[in-house]
This record gives sequence, C-alpha cells and structure tokens, in this order.
Amino acid sequence: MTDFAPLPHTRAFELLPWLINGTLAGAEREAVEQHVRACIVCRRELKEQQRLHVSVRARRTADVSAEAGFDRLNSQLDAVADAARPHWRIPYATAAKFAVAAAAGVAVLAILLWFTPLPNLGRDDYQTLATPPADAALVDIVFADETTAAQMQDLLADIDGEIVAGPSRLGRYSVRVASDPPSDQQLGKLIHALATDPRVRFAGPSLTDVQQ
Amino acid sequence: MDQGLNVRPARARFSDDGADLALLERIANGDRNALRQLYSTYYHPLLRFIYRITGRLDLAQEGVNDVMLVVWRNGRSFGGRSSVSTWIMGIGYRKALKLLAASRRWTDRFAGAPFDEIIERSDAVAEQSDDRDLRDLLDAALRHLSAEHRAVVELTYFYGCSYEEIAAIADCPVNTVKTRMFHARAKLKKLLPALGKDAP
Repeated sequence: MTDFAPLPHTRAFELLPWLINGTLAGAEREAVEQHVRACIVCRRELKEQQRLHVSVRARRTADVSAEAGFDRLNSQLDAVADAARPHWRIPYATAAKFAVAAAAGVAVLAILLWFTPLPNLGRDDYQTLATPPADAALVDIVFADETTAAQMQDLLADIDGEIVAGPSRLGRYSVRVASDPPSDQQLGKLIHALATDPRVRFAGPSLTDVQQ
Repeated sequence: MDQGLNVRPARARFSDDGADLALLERIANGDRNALRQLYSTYYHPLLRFIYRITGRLDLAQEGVNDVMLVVWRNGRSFGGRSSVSTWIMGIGYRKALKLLAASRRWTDRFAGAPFDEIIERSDAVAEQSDDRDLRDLLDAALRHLSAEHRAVVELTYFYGCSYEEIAAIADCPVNTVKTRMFHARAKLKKLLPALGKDAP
C-alpha cells in the first residue's frame, strides 16, 4: 500500500538529481521511486545522472594549504585593527602635565578677556564657528556586500538620510543626512556610528559635488 | 529498500551545525582562534565551490578570505534561519558571482572555446570512454553553462544539497533551482554525448 499520489512524469524527471544525492525524503522520495520503476525514460535518465554525479564528485581541486590563506586573513584583520587605533600615544604622566598647563593657559586667557572691553559689533558682523554651512550635510557610504535593499532603506531611515548620488563604480553613495545640517561634531559621531555598522563597509565625509 | 533502483544516498557533509554555531558565537566575541577553526573547516569546500563557479584559483582564494571576513564582521547578525553551512555557502555564492563578473570585465576566459572540437573528441572516445575522459570533458562542458547553472550542479552533486538548501544559498525560489538544474542537465546532455552512450 502507498499513501502518496503518483507523480506526473515531468515532476519526477526534474527531481532525479535529488533522488540520486539522497536528499529526497518521505512521500516525495517514494513517489519518485515508484514513477522511475515504471518509466523507461526516467530509468535511462537516472543512469546518466548517476554517471554525472560520480564524475562531478571525482573532479579534483588544487591542493592548497588553508594555513597560508588564514595567515593572509589574519594579517588583514591586524591591519584593519591597527588602522582603527590612534597612531600616536603620549605617556599618561606627560599628558597630565600638558593638561595642567593647558588648563592654566585657558584660565589666564579667560581672565584677560573678562577685563577687555568688547567692540560694538553690528548684527550683520556676528558670526560663530557653530553656524551650519549653507549646504546640507553629505556623507559617503559604501554598503556591505550582504546588505539587502531593505536593510539599506532601514539604515537610511535610521539616520534620516536620502541618497542624492551614486552608486559610483566602486559602490559609493552620497547621502544627505538631514534637512538641518548637523555640527561637525555631530557629523563626526554619525560617520563613526555608520563606519561601525555591519551593514556598512565604508563611511566618510562626502567627496561628491552634488547640486542641492 | 531501493528494489532495483540502485540509488544510494550520497550526501557530502563537511561540518556539524552545532559545532559551527558554537564557533560563530565565539567569533562574534572576537575570538580569532575560533575563526581559525571555522576557516579550516570551510576553506576547501569554499575554495572548490568558488573555483567551480569562477574557473580561477586566484579568485577562489581571494573569495574564501572575503567570505570569512564577512563571517568575522557579521557573525553576530547570523539569524539562524538556515544552518551555518548554508549561510556561509550563500555568502560564498554571492562572492563568487561578483568576482566572476569583475574578472570578466578584464578577460573573457571562457568565451570562444572551440567546443566543436570537444564534441568531436567526445564522440571519438565514446566507444572506449572511461571515467577520466568523462571528467576531462565534463570540465570543459561545465564551463559552457552559466555560473548559476554550474553552481546548482556542483551543490547538488558534489555538496549533496537538497533543493531547499540550494534555494537558500542562491536566494531564489525552489522552482528556480529545479528549472536551473533541468536546463543544466539538458545542456550537458548535448555537450556530452558520452554521458549517455556508456551508461552502465
């Protein structure tokens, strides 16, 4: 007795490779086997595919050592880790001395400025370093190879960003990150966060000249 | 029982999912020794797979390291929707296709091979064909399949993957896998008459 429906020839025929490699299971396997027993075309095809199977498995690949490959990868990871680390270091004691001297200098400067009369600045002359640039802030992003289109959209939504150019030949997108441009410090933080995001391979200040 | 069909399961498994998961967890915590172990488990399967798709050993070596770099960076994001091996082979599949596309911009290695000669040779040796001849011819014939078709043949017959696993690796529907295999078989049959003539 069987508890499976007979398979049409075309379905049984297309499943033969997986009957051969042993991954068909249960009722599907039994149905294909039942069909093959009764079908001369499938029996012939089964023999041909078994021969192909043996030949594919017998093909050799060059004998290359995995160790050498891993050493290259390890060096690559070391280089990446090294690049992420600051390249100069000051001993703690020296840094502390500089910090004390700098703090004293700032205090002296503040006292001098306190007693210096201010010029009478007109409103139009007033300017601050924190004034945002006229153009919106742009960052360049190269997404990781595995990042899907949906994940790209999620990331853009996370940073309130909009692609305004790209991709370049190397996969670089220029992204406008906000309608109100962030400060340099905020932009730096954003770029750092993007650079460490697994969906992103590279993030940095934009090199693209995009018309706003 | 096979009752005369003489079909024996022949799955090629090179890793254990439980062990792979444990290594992946350590990799997510920055353990390079775990990466070394996973690398050594997957090096040859990946090397062969990428080599079979690209046809170039240098690209295959580069591809293996690209794949393992992704595993190192994204191990934490492995969602467990498939086995670790399916996930890693899927990354390998996409890398191989990209490397192949990039290399074809520089060289047209496979195009233009005089396959008429191969067909003639195939006919000539069919009478006394042995498996080695067939393997040599098979190498040439597989190069005339698309990369996607080669991958399905390799994943089915060398790696012993089910069609569901191949669909997960290639990120396509199951029916696409069956169709690719169907067309690959049909093309190989045309290119390799010896496949049928000497069948036992």
